[in-house]
Amino acid sequence: MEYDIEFIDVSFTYEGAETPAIENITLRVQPGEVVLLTGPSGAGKTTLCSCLNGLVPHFHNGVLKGQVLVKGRDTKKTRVGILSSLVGLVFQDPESQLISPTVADEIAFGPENLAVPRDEIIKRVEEGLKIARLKGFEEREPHNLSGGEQQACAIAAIFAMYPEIYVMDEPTSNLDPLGTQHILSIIVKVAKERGKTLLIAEHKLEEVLPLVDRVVVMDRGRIMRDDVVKGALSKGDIEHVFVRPPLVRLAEKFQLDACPLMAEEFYPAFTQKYKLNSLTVDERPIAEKKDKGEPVIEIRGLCHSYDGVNAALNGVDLTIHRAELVSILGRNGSGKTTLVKHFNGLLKPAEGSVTVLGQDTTETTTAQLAKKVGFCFQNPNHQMITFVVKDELALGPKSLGLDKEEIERRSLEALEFVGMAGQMETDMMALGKGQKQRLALASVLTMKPEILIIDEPTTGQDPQMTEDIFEIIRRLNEEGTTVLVITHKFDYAAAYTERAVILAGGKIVYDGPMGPALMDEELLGENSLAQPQVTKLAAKLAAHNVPGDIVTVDQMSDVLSKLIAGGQDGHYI
Amino acid sequence: MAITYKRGDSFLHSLDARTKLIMFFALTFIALLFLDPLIIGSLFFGLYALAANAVGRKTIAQSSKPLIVIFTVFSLYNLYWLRPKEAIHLFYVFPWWNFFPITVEGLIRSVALFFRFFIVVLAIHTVLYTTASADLVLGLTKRESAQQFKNILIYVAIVTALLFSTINLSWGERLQNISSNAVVALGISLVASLAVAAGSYWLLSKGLPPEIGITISLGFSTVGILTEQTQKIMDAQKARGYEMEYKNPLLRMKAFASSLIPIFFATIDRAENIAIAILSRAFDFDIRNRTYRRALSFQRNDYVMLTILLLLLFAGLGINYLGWGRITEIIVRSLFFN
Repeated sequence: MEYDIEFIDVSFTYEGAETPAIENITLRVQPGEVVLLTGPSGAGKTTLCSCLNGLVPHFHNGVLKGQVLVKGRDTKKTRVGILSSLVGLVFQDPESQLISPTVADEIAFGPENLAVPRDEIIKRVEEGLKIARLKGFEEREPHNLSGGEQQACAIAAIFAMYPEIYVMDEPTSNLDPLGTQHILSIIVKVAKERGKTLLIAEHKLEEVLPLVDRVVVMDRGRIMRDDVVKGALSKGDIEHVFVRPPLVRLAEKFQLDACPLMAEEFYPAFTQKYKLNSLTVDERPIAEKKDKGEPVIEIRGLCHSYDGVNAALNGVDLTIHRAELVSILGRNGSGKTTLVKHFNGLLKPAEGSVTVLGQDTTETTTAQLAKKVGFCFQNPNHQMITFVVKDELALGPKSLGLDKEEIERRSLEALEFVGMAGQMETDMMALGKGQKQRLALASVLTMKPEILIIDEPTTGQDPQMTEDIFEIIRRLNEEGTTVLVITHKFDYAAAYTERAVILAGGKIVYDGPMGPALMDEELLGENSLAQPQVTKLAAKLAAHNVPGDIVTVDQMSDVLSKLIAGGQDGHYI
Repeated sequence: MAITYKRGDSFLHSLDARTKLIMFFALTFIALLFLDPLIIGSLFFGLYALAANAVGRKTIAQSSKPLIVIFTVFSLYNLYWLRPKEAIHLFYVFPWWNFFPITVEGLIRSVALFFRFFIVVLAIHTVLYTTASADLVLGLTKRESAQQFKNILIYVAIVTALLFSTINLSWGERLQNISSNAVVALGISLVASLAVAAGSYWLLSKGLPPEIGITISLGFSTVGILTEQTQKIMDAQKARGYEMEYKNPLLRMKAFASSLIPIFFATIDRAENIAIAILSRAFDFDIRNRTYRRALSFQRNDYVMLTILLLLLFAGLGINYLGWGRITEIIVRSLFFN
């Protein structure tokens, strides 16, 4: 049997690194297989992907041991150009791989390099535009597209090359939930239609598992598990590495035979096995009510436009109270970032007014507001200015004019808060993605802001890091900081935040408690937010008096136990 | 303010990238031929009218305003040097020492000099504003239609005619030094013109290697991205309490300097990402034989433009030959200093 991809005892150590990025990897993939590659950040997924088109070892220097065969060719002896014609590789960050002046040029770039005749290139560009739903965008500049459109463009550019093997390295990390589903389904559909091999590295298990044949779990450079989907799921969780989707875990706990990913599968399996009761009123988890503090941000009739034609914000009214924890949601390009940039004066209202902590933002500068309003950017690299953690942490308090001891004290405190204690002297370059994000947060915390704004802190982070970040946010809020977080991770937002503000087309379409938003499937669908499967299950159990706003596995597990326990005790209402 | 392609459907937009490049070179050549404000000035305003029609006056003003100051200073400086021997003396700037004389010719020529600089810059701006960077690069790298025999003949014929007339009009006397026989002299100049024309075709037909073309193209598309990235980094600084919005330019420079380190790293990062991106798209598959989606082809408007340019060149040579190259000076002299 000829394999499409063959790793034979492969290890690779990057130049200058002490430990190998991947170690003793042996992996064989047959033609036409659809394989999911998963595992925490830093597990070596990207390195493994880069081995396939020869970037390792031809571009990234280091020591490669063992043998990687792609369609029978040894990658050590084959040029990147040849391998790239066989292996189409899409990276995580779409912005960094778009290089052409227009979308059409972008899609054509690969086929041009492969010396495809001009007529054929034009045909392939047409086809790529159609698959990626980018018709009408031919002449747009790729870097002015929204995140989702950019990702679709990067994928179309690879599709147009007609490779033998498709490799997607976290292709949906910048996308909103429905955008993710759309992109993943495109990828799998095209690979299957063309009968080609597909390797997807991805964290979003709930979305991707129904689409793949086989699961490979990696951790710290090694393969921990390699099995068909069912087999991989039945072998249980690997803590911090492979945490299966909520319903799978619940099914295991309640010893269901099925291995359901969706509420539609879980519900019948569960009701078949158990006789269900209803919850009594006092058993329903009740959300605790907090008193609202005084308003800290007040926005009236805010409008903003970047080009003077299209409104990015159109008549926004919003009041944020002290010590609230608010998530700002909405699809890519709905105006979330534009809105929060008004909170610290990075943008000034073109129309309407923004008052932050009693001060009109038009009458002050961002630097002044920064003393009270912390702002964490989407890409931590854009806010790192120094080379050592210590200096980075000191930057903010220095601008406040604090003395040395106070700066030192605050830096230590902030670092400990984000779980990076003892890393004061660490070199910036040595930090991983998750650590950088937490450091970015810490460096804002040293200024002890009254209001903290966090723009998409979990892009490209694995589930463990995402949870860490949200835990930090929660603790900060409990200490009295007002926190506003922009995120696409709706399940986390629902579990951690109490108030939701949903934006669409520059307007607020929902502003209120999280619960009702969570249960409103139509509202969520319109705003590219996917209702968590646990919540869907809760909706199915509504007849049993189960409240509809359940998000976490623990809550649901609790509810389910009570439902079946009632059956034994005859505890009816 | 970066000069980038502005979409449109004007006459200039409709031209082939190569035509516009030729326009740039032709205008530069003519501008170097003359130092007369009437001639260069009218050429300048002709080009300005075309450019304003294509991208609007506002756009052009935006990119040319700072240049007006620079070129004015430069022209004033040249007032000192531009004074032919037989010039009509007006006065001294520093009469105490009889230093820095102002002459009629000097004034006229420095005005011409102003337009000479400006027309070259305006021409290149116009090309950049009205040509998609990808087409421009294609114009520099690859010439599919130029492979046709008909096109080669046209090109060689035009260039030969141009060179031949230039040689004979400009250096007629010197040709006679080579051979007193007029026919032989003409023959030699014709052969030389043909050789240069054919040689230049051979050079041009090869175009730039595709690697360089793609590098230029990447440069064009990276400018916008880097500007955006710089903005993001400066925003991040502001959000950390660093004052960036100073009115004082010196303080503003200082604030900007603190952003340089992250900008530097972001740029290096970007460069590496680009390398990975193009390699992953089979850039080095078979670069000499890569194909192109875009194709350039000469249309009616291109022939119109090329004809105009050719006429202008011939007119220019003719004017010079007839001794009207300094027409403004002649007019001013006969009107005021007779």
